[in-house]
Amino acid sequence: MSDIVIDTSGLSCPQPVVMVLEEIEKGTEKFEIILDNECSCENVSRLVEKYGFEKETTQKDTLNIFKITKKRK
Amino acid sequence: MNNIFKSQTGIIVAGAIIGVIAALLQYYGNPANMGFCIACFERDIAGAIGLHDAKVVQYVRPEIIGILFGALIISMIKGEFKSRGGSSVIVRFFLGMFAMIGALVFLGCPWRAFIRLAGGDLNAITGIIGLIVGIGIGSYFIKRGYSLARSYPQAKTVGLILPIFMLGLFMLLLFDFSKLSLSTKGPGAMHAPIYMSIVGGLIVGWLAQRSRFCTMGSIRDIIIVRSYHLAFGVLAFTLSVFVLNLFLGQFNLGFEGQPIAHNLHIWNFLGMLLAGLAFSLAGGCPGRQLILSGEGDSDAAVFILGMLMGAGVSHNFGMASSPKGIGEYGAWGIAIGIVFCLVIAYTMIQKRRTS
Repeated sequence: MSDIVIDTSGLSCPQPVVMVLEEIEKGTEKFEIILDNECSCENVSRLVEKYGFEKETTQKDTLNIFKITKKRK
Repeated sequence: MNNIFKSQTGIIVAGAIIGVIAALLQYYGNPANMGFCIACFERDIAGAIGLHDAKVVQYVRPEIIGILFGALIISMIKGEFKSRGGSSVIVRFFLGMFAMIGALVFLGCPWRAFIRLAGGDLNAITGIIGLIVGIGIGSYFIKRGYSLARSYPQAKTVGLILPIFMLGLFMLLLFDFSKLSLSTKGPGAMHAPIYMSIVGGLIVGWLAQRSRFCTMGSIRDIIIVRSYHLAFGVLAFTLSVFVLNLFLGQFNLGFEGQPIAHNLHIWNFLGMLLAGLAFSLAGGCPGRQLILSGEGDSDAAVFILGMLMGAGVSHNFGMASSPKGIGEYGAWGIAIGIVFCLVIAYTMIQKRRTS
């Protein structure tokens, strides 16, 4: 269950959040999210925080693509 | 990172300052309860370049150019400017058009709906309820998998096209307005001094870009993720306009005789329902679309162009309201707009893939 990757690149505001929310609601406890804009990063951060996830932020190449990994506390 | 405005306090401060600027711009000459109305001001711009011939609402509103450039400059400084586009472009154009048609039946964008409320115009309440219902419908489809699909990185110049176009209009206003149509009476002739409008716009653009202030998003986030973050910003915005209105003697409670408004509740409701639905399907209220355009999002820029087109057809085809009531074909505009949005929303549901 650790290989789930949600690629939200190119998608704008509500969608990344909705996709992450769906995954959380499925009960997935560990997954990765690829984000490419600041706004979605902030929104998703707030969401996962609210649901008690931990996140590790890594930046992949200069294109400002974030990979965020989460674990249940 | 390191964005002080992304915090709870940040969005409240941003919302409050935007409200102060809105109320002050009204005090210094902008039309009543229209400190910042993105839809109205884009409609005025559409008039100024001859897309419609409603003589009383034609002006190159520097606020719009200011907001766009405020967002552009700060996003460039913060490294958030990214040219991107190619996501269901024609759909966005038409969503912008119908959003404008709906907004002009109500007579205001969501920003103005809250400004009107803060000015005591109780007709705004039915509008805001319509807005909430419209966003609710949009959110339903978003949850079901509605998507305008991905956008892709583009050359930097692409993201600069709309800002440069708007800058050109501003230059015309400053240096040679002989070919522009500018109102000599009516709301279009009421405006704060140009320097105030442009500076006000720049500050609003800066704050809204940093804080992601969005009226539509505030309601959508409550519906979809029970997040009240953006709603605090809108609340702060409304309260600050309200308080300043009280101080400046701009508060006038009631339904009757409200400035640039009508009290046909069903049409206020339906106009904003259409607008809210279109905004939620397009991913942002007109203010937010301007900010996104400033950040290089050429899809949002197309939405803005759609709004200009919407202003043109609204007035030319008798769909726009006036304080006397709704236009002859306003009901048709709303009906066609709602059908368009529902068909688009339903047919653009995609199965999500998580790999």
